[in-house]
Amino acid sequence: MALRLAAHGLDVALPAGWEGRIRRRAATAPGERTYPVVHLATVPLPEERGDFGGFVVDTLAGDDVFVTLFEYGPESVEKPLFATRGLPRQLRADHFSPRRLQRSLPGQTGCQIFFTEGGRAFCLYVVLGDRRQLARGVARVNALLADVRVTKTGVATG
Amino acid sequence: MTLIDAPPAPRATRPGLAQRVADRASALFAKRSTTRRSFLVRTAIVGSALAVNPFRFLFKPGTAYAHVCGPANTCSGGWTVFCCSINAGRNSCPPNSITAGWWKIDNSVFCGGSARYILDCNALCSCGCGSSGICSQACTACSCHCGTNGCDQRRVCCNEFRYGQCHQEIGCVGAVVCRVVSCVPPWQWDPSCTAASATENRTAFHYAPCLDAADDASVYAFGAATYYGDPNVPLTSPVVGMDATPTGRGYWLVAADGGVFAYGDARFFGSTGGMRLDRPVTDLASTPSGNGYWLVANDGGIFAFGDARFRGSTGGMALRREIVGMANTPSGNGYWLVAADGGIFAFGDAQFFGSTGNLRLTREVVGMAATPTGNGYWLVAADGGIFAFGDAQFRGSTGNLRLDEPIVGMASTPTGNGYWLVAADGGIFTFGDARYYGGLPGTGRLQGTVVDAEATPAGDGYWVLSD
Repeated sequence: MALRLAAHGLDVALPAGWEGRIRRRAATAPGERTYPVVHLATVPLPEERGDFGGFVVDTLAGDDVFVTLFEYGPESVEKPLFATRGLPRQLRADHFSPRRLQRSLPGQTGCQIFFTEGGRAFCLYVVLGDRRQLARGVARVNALLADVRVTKTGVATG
Repeated sequence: MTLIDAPPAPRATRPGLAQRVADRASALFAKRSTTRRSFLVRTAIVGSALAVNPFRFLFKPGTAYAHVCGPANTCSGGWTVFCCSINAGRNSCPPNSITAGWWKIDNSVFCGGSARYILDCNALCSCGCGSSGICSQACTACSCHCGTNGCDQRRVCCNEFRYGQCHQEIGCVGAVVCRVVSCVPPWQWDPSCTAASATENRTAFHYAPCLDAADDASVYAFGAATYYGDPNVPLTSPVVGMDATPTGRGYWLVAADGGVFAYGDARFFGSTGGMRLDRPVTDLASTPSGNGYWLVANDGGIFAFGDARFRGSTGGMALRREIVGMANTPSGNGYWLVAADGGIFAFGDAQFFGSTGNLRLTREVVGMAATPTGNGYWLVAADGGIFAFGDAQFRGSTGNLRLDEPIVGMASTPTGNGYWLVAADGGIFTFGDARYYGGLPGTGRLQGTVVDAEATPAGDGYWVLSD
């Protein structure tokens, strides 16, 4: 039976071999807003990860995968950047590029998609450890995304 | 010279957290133990130079950081270069790029133990893109390469990634051109950025020597304008504006923290330099008597000193864009504030003659000047576009020219029949009866970026102010 992670209106079924965290950091600067961030990976997740995985991605190799689901505030929902409706659940190989990375590391490839679901604005960011195993990596990610649920019950602004 | 706001004294007693962390970081860099050192933690924020040089980096150690770039400073490290390394030393987005997102580094040694913010400048696209929010490189004006300026050899226009908090109204941008740095939260000075926070402490020690550039100010005098001095000490905040005294034998400079510097026959009447402001000061206007002045912050907050009286502000209003400038009426009993979208806010005996607040501008408004009668005003945009209202007459603009650098300010002639525009590189454009007395491009004199200009009362010269 798959382990389920659920918090802040986000619900993820973790397939075997995956780790996951859902967290919402405390704001530390006046005016700062924080929203939930989901981290899912086939490698161990360190306590400090960086929202887009700066402390994780250089541990990826082979068919390893790192996934971030990063939420923006309610003011972002109607913006053109988030015009795509619905969490993309069927990524394709052509969504990925070695340049489509926050930090470009040799051999890796990545994908980033902004979207709105459940009245909430998100960015899905995926890093694959080895682009030579792109097809396998995409399949693993799609299997994961098939059982990610976003409800309209998000978090209060804060 | 009358120096009003001296920089804070170096911390010389018990080392605080920031210094202890800095020493530790220095040791990491240098791989050797370090001695205690004093340093200035600098606070610099944005003023009317928003369109030009909005992010003045805030740290001035002069020691261990001066010649290091931190970890992963080569192309193969995978990170993007700092903007100052590729943008003529400016810690700002280069042309054809915009801030597209940001992240926070906690407890940064470069910001006195407070958060440090890195903003990505992504290339503008000439064509569309899909849900990735990133267009192909063929649609942008830059191509992927490695930095070549000193030790900051990180990537330029390579990483097709978007943090996503800024300019969400633009659904499509190109690769990250470069990164800018600020110790002030981005949402406080860039209205396009939301406060939705992302962190990436992996970049905590990323640096570039050009971020260590001095924060000072220079005044350049042309024609009959006389040079009376400028701050010759490191400033805690960049200068953002100036105004001349009624005699033309002096001037005031104002910094983003509200520090006021008076030269010649200009007198000091007070400042906000010692206060903790919510928003940066963007401009200064003196009263007709020369016995007072107003400072305006980018939320429209007004600070009145000397015989300047408070007539109202937008400090409590929700503005669509930040206030970038102000001008007072001839009587001194009122003033206008202008926002970056050309919105005009009139107070006291200042009358509203029109605005561009409801127009879709090609470039943001960066300044204004009132006519001698007080029955009109001009607004100027960063592309040199001029918008005339009331009895202000349109005498020409640079709106149709391709400028090397954006326009940052304007000044009208005493007759009201002409005006000067000044660009960030010190280029001067004259219209109507405004005469040309010289400029800075090609002279090699300019240090920093021009942020404002002011004409003499007789119109027979002008001063140019750089940060």
